[in-house]
Amino acid sequence: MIKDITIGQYFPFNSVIHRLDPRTKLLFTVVFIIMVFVSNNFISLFFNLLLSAVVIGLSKIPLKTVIKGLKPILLVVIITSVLQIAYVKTGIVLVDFWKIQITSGGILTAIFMAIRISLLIVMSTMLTYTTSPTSLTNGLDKTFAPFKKIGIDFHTVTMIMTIALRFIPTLIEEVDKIMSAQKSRGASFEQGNIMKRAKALIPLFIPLLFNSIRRAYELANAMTCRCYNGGQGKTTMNALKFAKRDYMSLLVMAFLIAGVVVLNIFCGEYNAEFTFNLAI
Amino acid sequence: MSIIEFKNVTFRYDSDDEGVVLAPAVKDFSLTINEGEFMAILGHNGSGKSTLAKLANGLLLPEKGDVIVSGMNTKNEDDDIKIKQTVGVVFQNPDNQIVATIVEEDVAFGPENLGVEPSEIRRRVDDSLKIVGMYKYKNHEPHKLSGGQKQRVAIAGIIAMEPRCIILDEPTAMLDPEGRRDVMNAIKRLNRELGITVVYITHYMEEACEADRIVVMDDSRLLMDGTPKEVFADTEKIRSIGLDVPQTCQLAKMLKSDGINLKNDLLSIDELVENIDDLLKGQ
Amino acid sequence: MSHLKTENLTYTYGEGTPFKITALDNVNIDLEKGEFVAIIGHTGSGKSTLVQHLNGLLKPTNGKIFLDEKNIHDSKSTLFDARFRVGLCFQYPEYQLFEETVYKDIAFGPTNMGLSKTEIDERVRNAAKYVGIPDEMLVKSPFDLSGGEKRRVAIAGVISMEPEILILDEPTSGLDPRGREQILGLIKKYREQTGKTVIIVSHSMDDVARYATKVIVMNSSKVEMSGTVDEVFEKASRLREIGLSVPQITEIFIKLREKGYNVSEKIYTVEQGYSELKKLFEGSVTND
Repeated sequence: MIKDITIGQYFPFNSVIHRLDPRTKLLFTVVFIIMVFVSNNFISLFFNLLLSAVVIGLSKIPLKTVIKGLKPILLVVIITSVLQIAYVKTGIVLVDFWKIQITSGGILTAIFMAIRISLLIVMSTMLTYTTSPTSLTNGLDKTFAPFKKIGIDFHTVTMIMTIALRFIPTLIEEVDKIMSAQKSRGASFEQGNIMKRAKALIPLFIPLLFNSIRRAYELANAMTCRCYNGGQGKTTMNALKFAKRDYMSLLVMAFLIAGVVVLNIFCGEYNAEFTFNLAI
Repeated sequence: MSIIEFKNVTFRYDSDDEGVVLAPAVKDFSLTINEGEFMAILGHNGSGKSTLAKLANGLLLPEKGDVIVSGMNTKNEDDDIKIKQTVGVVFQNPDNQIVATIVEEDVAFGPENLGVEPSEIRRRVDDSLKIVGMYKYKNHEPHKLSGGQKQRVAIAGIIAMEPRCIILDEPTAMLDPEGRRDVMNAIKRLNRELGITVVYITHYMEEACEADRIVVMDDSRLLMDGTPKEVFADTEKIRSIGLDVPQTCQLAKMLKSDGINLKNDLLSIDELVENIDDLLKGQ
Repeated sequence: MSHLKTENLTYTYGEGTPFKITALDNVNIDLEKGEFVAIIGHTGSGKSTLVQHLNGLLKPTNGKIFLDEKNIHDSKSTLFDARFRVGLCFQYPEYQLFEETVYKDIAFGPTNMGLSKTEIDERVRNAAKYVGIPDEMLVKSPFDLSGGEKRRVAIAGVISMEPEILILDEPTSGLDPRGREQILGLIKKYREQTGKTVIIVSHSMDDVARYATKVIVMNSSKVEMSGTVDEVFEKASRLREIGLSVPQITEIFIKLREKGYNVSEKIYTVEQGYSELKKLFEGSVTND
C-alpha cells in the first residue's frame, strides 16, 4: 500500500546521529555515496557495510525498519543482479545450459552490485530517518546560502520542500477518501484498458486539484498571518551550530576516506585473484 | 482602551467574471474592540464575519473607511509586520495552517519569521504549547494528531508571536464535540491567564455564550452588540436571521408569553432551573 | 424481516505490525425497512468504519454483512449490487464534486449503473427535486455554487442511484444553523416520501432526538447501546461518560427531577419541554 512507503519518513529518536548537525549528515551521506562508488573490491565494500552498521546501531533505528525501507527498490536490485549475471563472463563457468551461461564472476559481481545499491539506499534513507525535514531543509538552506549572491535563492526551494513533505500524508489521506467516495457512486479504478483507467481517474484528479488549490490559498493566508515574508531576517529556533561531535565526525570522515582509498589500492589487485580463488 | 477599531469599513471581493460587481461583504461597519475583552462575532455563513478577521490584521484592506490596530492604520504598509504580530488570526481548517512537519517547529515558524533570538523562541514555543495543553506532543508529526489537537497547535503558533489580540475564524467548525471543548478551554485560558484580547467568530451560539460581549452580523452589517444575556433575550430577532438561541432562552420565552413570570436574563440551565424552582415554591 | 444486518463484524488494520488497530469489534446491528437510524459516537469510536462496511467498501476482517439476508460478499455481483442498493454519502461530500455541470455530477452514479439515458435523466431530475436544486442550477458548474448548495448537489449524487438504504456520514458538519436545518429537513422529507431506510452518522444529540426512530451508540469500536431515542437518552450519565451529551432541554428536566419535581425525563425538544412545564405550572403535575 501507498501508506507503507517509509522513504522520506523521520523517526524522532534521541541518538548521537539525530543530534548531529544536518550539514554534517548531508556531507557524510555525500561522502559515503562516493566511497561506495569508488570501492572496487569486496574488502573495501565490506568496510562500507561495517560503517553503515555502526551508523544504524548508533541511531537506535530498528534494523527491521531499515531493511523494510529497501522493499520498494527490491525490484531494481534484482534486475541489476540478473543483468550482471547475464553479462559478466569471467571466472569459472558454473552453469552452461542451452543459451544460459552463469559464471562465478557473474555471480560475484551481482552480489557486489546488490550490496552496493542497498548500501546507497540504506544510507540515504538513514539521512531522512534521523533528520527532521525542517532540520534537513535548514541544513540545505545554510549550505546553499552563498548561492544567493549569484541570484539563486535556495530558501524558496527549501520552503517548498518543507511544505511538500508536510502535505504528502494529508494528500494521501485525501486521495483515499475521494476514491472511497467515488467508488460509493459506482466508480471503478481497477478495471478496463489503459484508456478506460486513465479516464476513471478524472473523478479523482479534479477534486484533488481543486482541493489542493484551496489548501494552497488558505496556507498562504496563514503564513502571511504568521509574518512570513520570504525568509528575510529569519532566525531558526534550533540554530545550526557545529558541536564538538560534528568536528569529530568530520575527522572520522577524513580517516574513512583515507581508509577506503588505501583498501582500494592494496586490495584492488587482489580482488581478481580473490574472485578466482573463491571460484575454485 | 481599544485594540482594533473599524471605522465605517466597506469591503468587496473582486469578482471572478469580469464586469460583474459583487455586493460588499462588509458594509459601512464600525466597531471598537477593547483591550482584554473576549468578544464573539456571531452570524450565519455569508454574513461577512469571516471578512472581518482578514480586515483586522491587514490581510485585506478596506475599500472605504479605516481599520486601526493599536494606533496603526492597516493601509500603512510600513506597519504591516507589526500589525500582523499584534493581531494573530487562526482559521477554520487546522490542516491548512500548519507549515512544518514537527509540532514544535511549526510553533516556532512565527517567531522565526520575526527574527527572534533562538533561545527566546525556545522559551516561547514551550510556553505556548503548555498553555494550549499540547506540550507533550511537541515532537509529534501534525498529521497524526486529531483535529482539535491540530487546531490547538495552530493557536500555539499564533501565541508564540506574542500578539495582543487573537482572532479565531470558526476554529471549531470542523471539530467533534470533544475537540471543540478542548479548543474552547484553551482559548478561555489565553484570555483569562495571559490577558490576550480574543475575538471569536462562530455560528455556534453555545460558544458565543462563553464570551463577555457578542456582536451579531447580518447581511454585511452589524445587527446587535451586547452581553450574551442581552443578545439572546431577543430570541425572535436572532432566529429571524437564521441563528439558534440556547434552548433555555427559547423555553423561557415561550413560558413568559404564557404569563409565567420568569426573569429576563436566563442563559444557563442552572439559572433556569433555579428560577422555575423559586416560582413554583412561591406559588 | 431484517433488511440490513451485521454479524460479529470485526475490522482491524495494520495486522501483524505494532500499530494494529481494531476499528470494529464484534459489531452486531439489525435494521428493518423504513427505519431512520442514527449512529452516534465520538471521533474514533468506529462509526465511520462501520458505515463503510455496509455498502461493501471495506471488507471485514471477520464477520458478515447481510442485505435482505444475503451475504454481500458472496460474489462479485452481490457486492456490485450492495454498492448501489446501499448509497453512502461521505462527510464533506462537496469536496468530491468533479463534473463540468451539476447535472453531470448527479448523473455520475446512475451512469456507472449502466442505466439508459432517459432513466438517468429522470433520476437526476428527481434527485435534484428532493434536495431543492432548481432546474436552472443543473447547467451550472458545481464549483460556482455556495457551500450549502454544493453539499445538496453531492447528496443528490447519491440519491440519484435510488438506493434502498441511504447513509449519510455527518451530513451537517461545518454548516451554520440554517444550513443544518435545511439538510436535515430534506433528509426527513426524502424518507417520508420514499419510505426508504435512512442512516445518519452524527454527534449532534439534538438532531438525533428530533428525527431518529432508532439510535445506535458506538464507543471504542463496539456497540455501546442501541434502541429507541427514549431508551438511549435514559442513560444520560453513561452517555456523558463516553464523551457524548444529551440535549440541553433534557438536562433541564433531569435537574428538575433531581429537585424533586415529578416531570418526565423523556423530553428532547423545546416544544415537549414547554408543554411539560406548562402542566407543571398549571398544577396538573403534583409536586411530591
